[in-house]
Amino acid sequence: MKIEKQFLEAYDNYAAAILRHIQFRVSDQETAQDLAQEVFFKAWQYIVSGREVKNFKPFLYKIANNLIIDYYRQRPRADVPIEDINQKQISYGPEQEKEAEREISASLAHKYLSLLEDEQRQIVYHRYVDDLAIKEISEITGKTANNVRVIIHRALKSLKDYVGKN
Amino acid sequence: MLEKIKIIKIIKKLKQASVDEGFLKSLRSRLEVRISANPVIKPAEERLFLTERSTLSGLFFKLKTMPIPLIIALIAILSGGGVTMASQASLPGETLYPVKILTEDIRSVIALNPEAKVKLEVKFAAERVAEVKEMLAEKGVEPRGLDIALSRFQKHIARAAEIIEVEKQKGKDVSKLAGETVDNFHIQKKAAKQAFEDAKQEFFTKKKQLHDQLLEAIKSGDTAGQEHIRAELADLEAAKDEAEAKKDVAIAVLEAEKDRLQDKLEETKQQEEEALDAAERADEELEEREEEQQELKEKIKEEQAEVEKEIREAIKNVKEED
Repeated sequence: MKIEKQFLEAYDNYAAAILRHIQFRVSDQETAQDLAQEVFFKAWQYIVSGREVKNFKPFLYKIANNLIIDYYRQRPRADVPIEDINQKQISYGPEQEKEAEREISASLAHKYLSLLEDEQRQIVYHRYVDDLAIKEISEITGKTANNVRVIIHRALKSLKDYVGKN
Repeated sequence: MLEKIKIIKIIKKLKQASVDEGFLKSLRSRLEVRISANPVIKPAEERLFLTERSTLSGLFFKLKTMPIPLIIALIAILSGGGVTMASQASLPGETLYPVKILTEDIRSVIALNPEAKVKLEVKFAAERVAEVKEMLAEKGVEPRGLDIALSRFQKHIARAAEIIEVEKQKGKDVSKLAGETVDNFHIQKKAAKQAFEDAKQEFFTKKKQLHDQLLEAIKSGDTAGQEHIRAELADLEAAKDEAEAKKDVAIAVLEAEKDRLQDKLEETKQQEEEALDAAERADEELEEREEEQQELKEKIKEEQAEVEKEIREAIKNVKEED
């Protein structure tokens, strides 16, 4: 298959998830959309420069991560309390009957993730929301697979302790 | 263990967070433009690009890289085929419509410069609005046809905006083209709104007719007739809502692309102003420095005069003492 077609296929498969991921991590929807656009423009630029991409999914997430890091370097994270980030900005699907229940679950999920350290939050999100394999997370974050496993284990343990206490 | 599974299940609920589908569609179109403007060039093609000296050879290169069926279609179109001519009046969903779209795509591919491409995209967007208007007037809300026309409309708009952005990134002055395109988007927006507004008026007229018929049916005790008219009324309402939703999406995409272009224009203006400011500041600094130098020179002169005066007086004193 031609690389152009492969790339557009990767867009169709992962664009929504990448945008969702960025929306979760940055302050507003407009910035998230700008960054998501940048992810795909940069990815294409990389391909045009003659380099090969073996697996689009971790490759695109890696670019997204770098852009998010750059974004926060330019703008201190203290501006954006994690509790406010997604509860205000992200709206949930329109199916009426399950909406209330879903919102409660989503806000609980935000609450849980807000209790974690930045690194833990990112890795847990990659694992359970982005559905990335340990190996892929290791590729994105530059940590060893074992290290990723330990971080996830510790994050879940601390959440379990929190739930136990509350 | 159970608690852990529950926590994971709750976190997984974040997968349901919604994203702006309109934005994703528009980004895909922009990406397509970027890919075709900046393709991956294999070594053999690269040589061809490097030796590409004239617009004509560029056109030959484009033709060379086209699939054969497209070239055959191109020849048929350029030779003014009757089918092609006939297809121009077709609407989405009709047999000849794909020919009309193919003709447009080919015209876009062979357009010789980005400005011509942008103008064509804007022209095709206007054609889609005209189709929407015709469809609404002739067939009412026909979702499939409207979807085809509106999704192509969004594509044309996104492509036009993207070509301008790519040109700007290459360092070209796109302010005039961007300004014209923004104005055109504005015209398209008004035309699209008007098309849906006309359709809305038509809905109200039909609704009133159905209400009158319903009243008659109630008076005459025709229960089967009442049911039938009520069903028609419900269908009409649903069609009106559907048309309204489609209009909102099309207008939102248009607005987003218009804003994007306007931002780019503002950005260019701001950069120009900043450059002008910097030049003015540099001039002022230069003037200040010249003034300072002048003052310094005068001061040195004064000091020299004073020193000379002192020397003269000293000499005079020495002479007097002698």
